[in-house]
Amino acid sequence: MTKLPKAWYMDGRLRHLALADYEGTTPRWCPGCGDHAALATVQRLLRDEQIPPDQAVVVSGIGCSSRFPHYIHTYGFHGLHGRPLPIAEGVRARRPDLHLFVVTGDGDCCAIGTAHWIHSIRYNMKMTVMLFDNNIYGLTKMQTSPTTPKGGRSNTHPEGAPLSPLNPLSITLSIANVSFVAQTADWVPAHFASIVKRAHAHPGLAFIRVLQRCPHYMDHHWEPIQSDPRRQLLLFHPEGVPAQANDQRAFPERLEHDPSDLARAREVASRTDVWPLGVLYRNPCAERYDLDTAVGLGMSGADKLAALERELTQFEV
Amino acid sequence: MSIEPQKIEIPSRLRLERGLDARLLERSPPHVLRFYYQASREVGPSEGADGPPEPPAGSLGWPASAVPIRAEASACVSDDPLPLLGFGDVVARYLERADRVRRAPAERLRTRLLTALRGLRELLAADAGHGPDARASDALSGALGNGPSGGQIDVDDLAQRLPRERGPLRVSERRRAHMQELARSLDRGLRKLAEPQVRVWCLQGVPELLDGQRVSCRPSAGPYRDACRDADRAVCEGLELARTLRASQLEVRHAYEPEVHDAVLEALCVADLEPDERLALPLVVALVARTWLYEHLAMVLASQHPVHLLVPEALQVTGQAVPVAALACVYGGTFVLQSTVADREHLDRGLTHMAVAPGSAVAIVACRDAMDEGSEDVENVMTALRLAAAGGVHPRVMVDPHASVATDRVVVHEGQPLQATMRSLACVDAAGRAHTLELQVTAADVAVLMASWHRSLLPLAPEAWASDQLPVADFLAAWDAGQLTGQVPFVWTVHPDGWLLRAVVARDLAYAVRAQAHALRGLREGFGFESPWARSAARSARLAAEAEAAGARAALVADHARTLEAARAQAGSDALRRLAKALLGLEVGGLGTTRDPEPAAVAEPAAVAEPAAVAEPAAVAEPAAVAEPGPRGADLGREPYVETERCTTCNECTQRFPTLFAYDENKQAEFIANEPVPFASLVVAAELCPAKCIHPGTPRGDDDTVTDALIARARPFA
Repeated sequence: MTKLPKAWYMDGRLRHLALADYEGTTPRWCPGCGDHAALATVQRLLRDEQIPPDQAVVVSGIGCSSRFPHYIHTYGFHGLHGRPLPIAEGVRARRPDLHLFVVTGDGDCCAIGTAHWIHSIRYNMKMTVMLFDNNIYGLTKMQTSPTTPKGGRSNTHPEGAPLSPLNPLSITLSIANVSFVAQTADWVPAHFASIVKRAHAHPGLAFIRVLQRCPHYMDHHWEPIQSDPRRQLLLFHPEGVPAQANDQRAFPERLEHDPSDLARAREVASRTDVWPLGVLYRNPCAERYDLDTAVGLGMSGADKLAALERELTQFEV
Repeated sequence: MSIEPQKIEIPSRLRLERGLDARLLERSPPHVLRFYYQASREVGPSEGADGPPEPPAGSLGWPASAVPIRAEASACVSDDPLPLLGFGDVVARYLERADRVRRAPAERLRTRLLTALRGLRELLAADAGHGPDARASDALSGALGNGPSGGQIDVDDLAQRLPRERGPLRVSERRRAHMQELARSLDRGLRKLAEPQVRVWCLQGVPELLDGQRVSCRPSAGPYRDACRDADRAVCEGLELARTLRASQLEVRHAYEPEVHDAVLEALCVADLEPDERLALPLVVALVARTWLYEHLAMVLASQHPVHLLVPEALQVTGQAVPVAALACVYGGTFVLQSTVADREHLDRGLTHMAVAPGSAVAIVACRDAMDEGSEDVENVMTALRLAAAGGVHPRVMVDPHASVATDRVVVHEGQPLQATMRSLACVDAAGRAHTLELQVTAADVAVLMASWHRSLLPLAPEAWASDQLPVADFLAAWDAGQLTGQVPFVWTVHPDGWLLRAVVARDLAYAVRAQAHALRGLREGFGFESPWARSAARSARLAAEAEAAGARAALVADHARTLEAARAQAGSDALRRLAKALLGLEVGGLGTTRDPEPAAVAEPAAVAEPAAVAEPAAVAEPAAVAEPGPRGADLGREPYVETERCTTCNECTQRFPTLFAYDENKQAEFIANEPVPFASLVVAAELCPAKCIHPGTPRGDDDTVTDALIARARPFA
């Protein structure tokens, strides 16, 4: 058998990769869950870009959405609660050649993982972070999450959540060195796909908040938003997601928004009357920490040992 | 189906017997791989252009009869012993042709202009000398015989002289001014004709040898843009000059009348130029880079400015230039030549055709100057160019939209091998036994000679040869057939020490070679050459025609047999009847069964008509009674369907109703049921769908599950 360098071997890309090449185990999410849409969207992106499964990695935390790596046939890391972003940063630092996706939820990211979220945004290491925000803890059967709307009933707050929800978009936009913030929804697959494609191409950390239905626990919350197009505000711009010919029918409320305008992005993100869908902010020139961490890549074991010896000899007495 | 792992069993170590230019190898850096072929049987060692090379002293000691590949490849496509042309040579050859074909039309136009100008000046001189009425009275007097000339009335002479002399005799101030303006325009046109008729726009640095009395070179930062302006201006000036010429001719011959002649001028002159006049227009040529052309190809083909573009093609294996001809066919109107200096005959013929092409034209010529980046070995590039021409890597196509309306006339695909080019490679193994490898030339073989592709070739020593390594041509065939099971492609190469090696082809080069092969095949099929679809259609049509003919023949035979049988029976009964009549004087009725159908014919009609008259009315009336109230739920729309593009892949419908819905290749649901579906299932599926993209449609009339409540539930999804 011929032994070739990995980059030379033809089998991985000999044929056109199909969606079946990215399918892992059978998804166990509830039928009707928005996670299915997200999974299919990422699989379609990998298929369209013809990224071999062995060149992509999905890192997740804990939660319904974080079962994502099991259902996609790429490398995956089902991590600790709230810690997908530090793991992803480690992956990015030593394997910058991989296409990196991070899947997290509103509890995973906005509650226990808030510190990592903030610093990851500031590090701006190239990856695509998808926050699946269904406004509830679904895996543990309906507890109040940081984004549960005020008054939303749950097992932890039977009389309704007492506080106003946290806005992940506003928080992300307020962090230093933020470079890409977008929002989409799982019930608009075409828009979801274009946002993920844009984010995947972004040179830096792309943060996407995905408004996601939970058909079991939060259907009463998302159904009115989904069925009323006037509560969804489409943001379009050539630098973000360009306007499409058939947008008018699906999105009667539209706004041309320049994603390079941070102040305007914060203003749009804080709107409560509508849910903005589109790229809110994009700065491809933001500083990137992963450019500094890519040091010493490709060193052989002997080289590393020699470097270690050199360092240690400095302490020789 | 498995792939034959190895077509040729190769001994462990092979060394080239012939075909290696040792001098070339000595000059080469050691890492450079080279690929050489033996001189083919058709050429023979003695027909090599440069003759057999002398084996250098102390070198590898090749036989004196060896012929380098350069001569062999050259002989494959052309017997021209001259070295390959550079881009400057190509431009010079083209300009020389363009100037030559324009010289005669320009001279003819100059003669016409001079004639018209002379006529105008004579008229003006006559008008100034005689005044408005003097010549009229003279002519009339002369014609009637009362003038100074005397004589009888000649009616024919009068008819000939009066119209010609009527113009100048009635000349007005306005018309005189018009004639003077025409004369000035003709004079300007004559001066323009004396200027260089071929104008070249190019970037800085074009050799000045192109510049001359008939050719002018103009440097420009944007050659195509400036050339377009220049060409458009030249066309406008040409149209104006043609109009002036026609007006002058009308003035001289037929006494120009604006009310009558302007409409004719508009129709005849401004709309189009005659082909001869078009050739006499100045030719505007632009020299642009290939990258610029490929970026702006659609603009060039669509705008069709009357500019001739000359573009050097780089030595490459990606087949990037192939779609140009196909695009030109789509846009139409632009002459396109794709050629290579390695096929001198095709290049010269193409340039000659292009020189007379009206309107826009593009020539993309693979030439010596467009060298492989990183390679300084010109001879190597020349060898690769010849190999590329022989192997069909560089397309040689001519698209002349003005030749005909038929595609096979518009596209001239000559010079392109319809079958794969095969070459034989002679070698000896370590034991001294001779072997011959029959190899197919592919773009990968050309890439071996290009330094920029060396990173995509991994040489393997004989110890690393394995059965899962396939020659590139076989690999591509298996790839297209979907029969690859882990094989890797390779090409044969020669290490400078003379040993034959396999070089594994990396995926980027394999993709490039495959794309090139597909593009060339698409070009052939698109233009009707070697199309398996056309062959299949022709075979199907032939088989259908043969089947139809066989059926018709069988029907004829059967009909003939029936007629023959009837005739025989009739002849027998007639003979019996005649015999009985002659012998007994009796009429025999029962013997001729075919002639006596009367008893049956009388009884049949009543029996046939009876059932139809009774049964039909009731059967017809029934559907009308059913159709009267109309189907329930008719306002729900058409057949059940799914808005697939809105599907969010939530698994609801596919898991609940797997016989009705399934995912397509994009993992979005579609309606798959071909048999009648219970309407209730469709309504439930529509209600479950979170994206509301399932529409149950109109219930069938025979569906027992349809109720008014169900229709009311389905109405929101109509």
